[in-house]
Amino acid sequence: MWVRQYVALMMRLGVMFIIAIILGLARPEFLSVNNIINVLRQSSLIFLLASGLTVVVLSEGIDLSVGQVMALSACIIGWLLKSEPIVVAILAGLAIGAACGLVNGVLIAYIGLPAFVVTYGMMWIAQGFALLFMKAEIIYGFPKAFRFFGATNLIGIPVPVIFMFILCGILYLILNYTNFGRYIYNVGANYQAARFSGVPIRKVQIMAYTLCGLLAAFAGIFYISRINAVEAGIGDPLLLPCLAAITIGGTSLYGGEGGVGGTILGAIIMSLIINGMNLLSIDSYWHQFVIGAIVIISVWVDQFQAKKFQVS
Amino acid sequence: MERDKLKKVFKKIPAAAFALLFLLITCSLISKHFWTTENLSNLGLQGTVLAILALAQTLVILAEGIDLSSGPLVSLCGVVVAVLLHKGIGLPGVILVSILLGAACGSFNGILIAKFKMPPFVVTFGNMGVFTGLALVITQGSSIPGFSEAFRFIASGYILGFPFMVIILVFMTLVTYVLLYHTTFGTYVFGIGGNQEAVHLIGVNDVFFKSAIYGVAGSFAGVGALIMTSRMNAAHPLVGFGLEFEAIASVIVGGCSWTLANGNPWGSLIGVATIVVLKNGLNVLGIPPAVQVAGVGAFLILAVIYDTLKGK
Amino acid sequence: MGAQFSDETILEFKGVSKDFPGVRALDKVDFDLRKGEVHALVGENGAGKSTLIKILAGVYPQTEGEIYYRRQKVTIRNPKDGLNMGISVIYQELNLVPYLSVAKNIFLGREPHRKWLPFLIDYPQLHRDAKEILGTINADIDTKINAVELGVAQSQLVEMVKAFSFKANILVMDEPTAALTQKEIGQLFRSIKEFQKKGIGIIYISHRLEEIFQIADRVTVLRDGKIISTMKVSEVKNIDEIIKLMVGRDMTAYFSREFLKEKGEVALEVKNLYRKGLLHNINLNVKSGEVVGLAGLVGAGRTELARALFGIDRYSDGEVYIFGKKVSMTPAKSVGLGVGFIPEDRKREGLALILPVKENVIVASMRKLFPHGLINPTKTSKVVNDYVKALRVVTPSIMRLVRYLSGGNQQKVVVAKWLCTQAKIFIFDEPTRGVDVGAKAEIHQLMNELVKQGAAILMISSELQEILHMSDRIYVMYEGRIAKELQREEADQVTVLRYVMGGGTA
Repeated sequence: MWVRQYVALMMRLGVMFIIAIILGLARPEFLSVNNIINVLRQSSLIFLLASGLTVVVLSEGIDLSVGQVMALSACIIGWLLKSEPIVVAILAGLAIGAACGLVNGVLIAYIGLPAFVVTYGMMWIAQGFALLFMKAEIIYGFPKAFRFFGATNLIGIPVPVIFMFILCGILYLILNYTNFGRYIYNVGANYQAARFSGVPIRKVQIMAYTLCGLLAAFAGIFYISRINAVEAGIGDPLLLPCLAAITIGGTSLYGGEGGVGGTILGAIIMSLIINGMNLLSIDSYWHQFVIGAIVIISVWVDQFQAKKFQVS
Repeated sequence: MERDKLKKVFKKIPAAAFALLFLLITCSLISKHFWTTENLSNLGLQGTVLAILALAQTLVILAEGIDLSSGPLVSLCGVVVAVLLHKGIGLPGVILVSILLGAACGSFNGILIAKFKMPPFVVTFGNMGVFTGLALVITQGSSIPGFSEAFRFIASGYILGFPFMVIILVFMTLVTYVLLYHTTFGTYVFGIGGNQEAVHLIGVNDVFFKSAIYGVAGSFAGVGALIMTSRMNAAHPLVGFGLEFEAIASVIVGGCSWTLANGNPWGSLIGVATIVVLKNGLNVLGIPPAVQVAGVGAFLILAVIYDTLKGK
Repeated sequence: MGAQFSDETILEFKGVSKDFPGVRALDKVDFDLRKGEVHALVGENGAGKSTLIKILAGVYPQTEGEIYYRRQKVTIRNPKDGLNMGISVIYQELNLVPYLSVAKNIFLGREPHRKWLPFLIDYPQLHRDAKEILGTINADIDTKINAVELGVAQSQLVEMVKAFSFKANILVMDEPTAALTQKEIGQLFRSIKEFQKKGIGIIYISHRLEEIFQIADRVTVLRDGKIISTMKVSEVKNIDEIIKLMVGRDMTAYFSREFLKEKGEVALEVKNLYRKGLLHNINLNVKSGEVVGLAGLVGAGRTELARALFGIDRYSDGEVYIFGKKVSMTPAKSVGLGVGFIPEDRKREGLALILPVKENVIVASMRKLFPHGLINPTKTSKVVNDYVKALRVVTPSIMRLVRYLSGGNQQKVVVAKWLCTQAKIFIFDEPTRGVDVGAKAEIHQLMNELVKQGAAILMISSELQEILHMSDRIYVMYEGRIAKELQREEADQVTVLRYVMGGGTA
């Protein structure tokens, strides 16, 4: 029942508040406005990258290349910013991201290659191109107008956070109130049945992957705008937290279940935990461990929930 | 009739074999150094750890699972080994610990997957972070160098002219072969992969065996860790990064279908050889190592395209 | 029919009941099985047959009552227990491992080992044992080939032999003939007779009531979890008698069809269709206002034809016309042209089980209803509710996930999906397979209604009765060809069966 979905979301909302409360009690500085904004900003960067991936995962696909596609587009943007107008740089970056996604989509949907393999290959290819392009250099110092995206606040709220909510809202509407969105769920729930029901599965899949690539590039804008620099390796550590956000958020890797609402919660929870670990002066080397453990626990809980609602 | 027979044999040869042939020919043409003992032994060394991981991955994929954590597990075992060596623990003890630790971690994967019915992708993905995190914590991010002559023999020693590492690999291959085709355990591997319900209905403890399969895979990683650490004469927490993907790629390139339990260890080894030769070829062409991986990615996709189209 | 049983009872259920949350699946069931007999178990879906079997197999325990095995009270704690006791179940979904050899499949995990190295499999011995056991039912199957290469009938035989290898005293067979040709059914029955000779008691579950008369010694009818009657097959007059007991009401009105005198235009036409190796020179048509039955053996090419028509598979030559227009199809195009396909395997090909009824019903119609891509949820709910009501789909709400619906209701959801697209041509592939008798009648009634409103229906069915009672015309397919076209008046069981079996292809 759809009830299960709501319960799952509510549970995560609850977890989020519980963690926040615990952290607030342990370290009062956690509850400072500054810190909360920090948490939100960090989660927005995770969410922006994970948003497109959520759509792909919903259609029972996977895109392991999101991190590297983001890095590649970001490198292009960074390089172009030196000489071109911001708009041109951004458009070029988005185009690159979309193109990578498109290639993924075509290989997966038209030629029928397994998504895992294709996007894994693409991951390395994108990384390779990024390295080739950047020649191991770092580009830093972007025009002030560009820094609007990552480093400014509107009415006190960081711009990335605002975009996070806007993007989430848009994707939510698309996923629930458009044909394309519902097709995504159908393809993820049962590929064959969707095909036999006349769903244009190939188009849907290609669009999903292209969107994912596009959104990866979009996320890159905010990322490099914030750190005011770009180098080929910025995508490396991002895949795990993104997948974590998605699985914590309750979207099933088998498709057909979940949504962006969950991913946003997942991203915030992730960010809370990382922030909390920093505040509690926990060794940064423990972060990977904790994130990994969290992914496992959240899937386990989900499994547990599923059993509760199962009819014998 | 003869044509049909030929066709049948043809279909059984994995794409990788032809690719390997093609690559070997190309490499010979590009570089006159290719067939030198020096180069070949270099390739052998590179491929050994990967091959051991690929054998382990073959077992897991045959059982319809996947193990994304074997690379980080190699790092973890390597790190633990290094610490123990520096504390003065003797060689036999260290070897035992590495294998047992690998088995324990692998079983951890296996129990979550088999007993708690969590999706293998997610569990091993999460544990990727868990193992890497633990390795990072133990070493605080740096590497642990400097081991005894005896330990270094594992990777650099020769017996009767053959590198000891390769002898280990041959042994592991034998173990895999016997396990898969000449023991009941192997029957269960195929059974669990092909039809787990059937195995369960017979009254066999399929949960136990499924966990055990991951445990065995983990122990292989432990062996790989010994070789890796010995060869590099240092243990680094991130040394295994990416190895599991190359291992998985080897298995798939080697002809094991993603969804059917129809692979075999020979195909996987051919897959390993293909990838190693490819990287070497790219190296000779002067492509920097970090970019070589892009080539591997592209190649992987090509190989899978071929296999897919052949299947149609 | 060889009543080769001694009166020794090997199994007895006394007052066995089974409760699940909210429903009593079995109610004080008394059932017995004798040595060497074939005891058929019939009943609608949900009558309790599979519950009874699962208790026997050790999948779960009974809530009350006793089970006596060989005159001794027993508790079957798990499947292994059951197997060790000598109770083997062969399920509908075959349980072979595709990439293991036949021999290994038979002895899964119980391979003989070499004496000097106790963990190594003794291959020669393994294959000898396998050949020997296959010989007991005269099955000529290569023990070295992988199970994936076996046909359905052979797989079934291997399953039987596997069950037998557990030194079974009781064999339970669940719908064993569902996917077999007549010839293969014959072989199956011969094998069963061999098992009978060895004193094995067989519980035989089947929807195909005609078979009961061929193979069973006694038949027990279950309804709503209760035993209605246990009779000697020799004392049963005809199938209708059994059906009456199964449904509890007179089933002569089982099939309802009002045949229209005037048919409409030709809705679907196929000319010279070829598909390499599968279809040869297919010519057929379906007019609006009629049901065209497509009869034939399993493997005759009916589903392949349907799939080619709908655009799922490509054909190598020939033409398909929809309402006179030549088309080349993909599923998406077919839907756009008003064709609906209700597949054989509704769970795998017809429904998204983890999505709610609402999604499943609306999915094929979204393009038509919302041409600009934006969904109006109120409209969706209204439309779906209308169809759910019209088809009397039993569900607490349209948001219920389809996986929780019964087989019959799931099938109705699939039909609703196509009704929603305002389809004018329907291709039904085994419309009432795995559906209980009550829902069966409802689906037939539905088809009747559709045709009255001008739809054209192509119905593939392996149930002779269904074909005969529902079709205006019948095409019989045999080995990829249309063997014969029969009008309703000239079709009777014998004639149709004759063409189905291949006789009469001049």
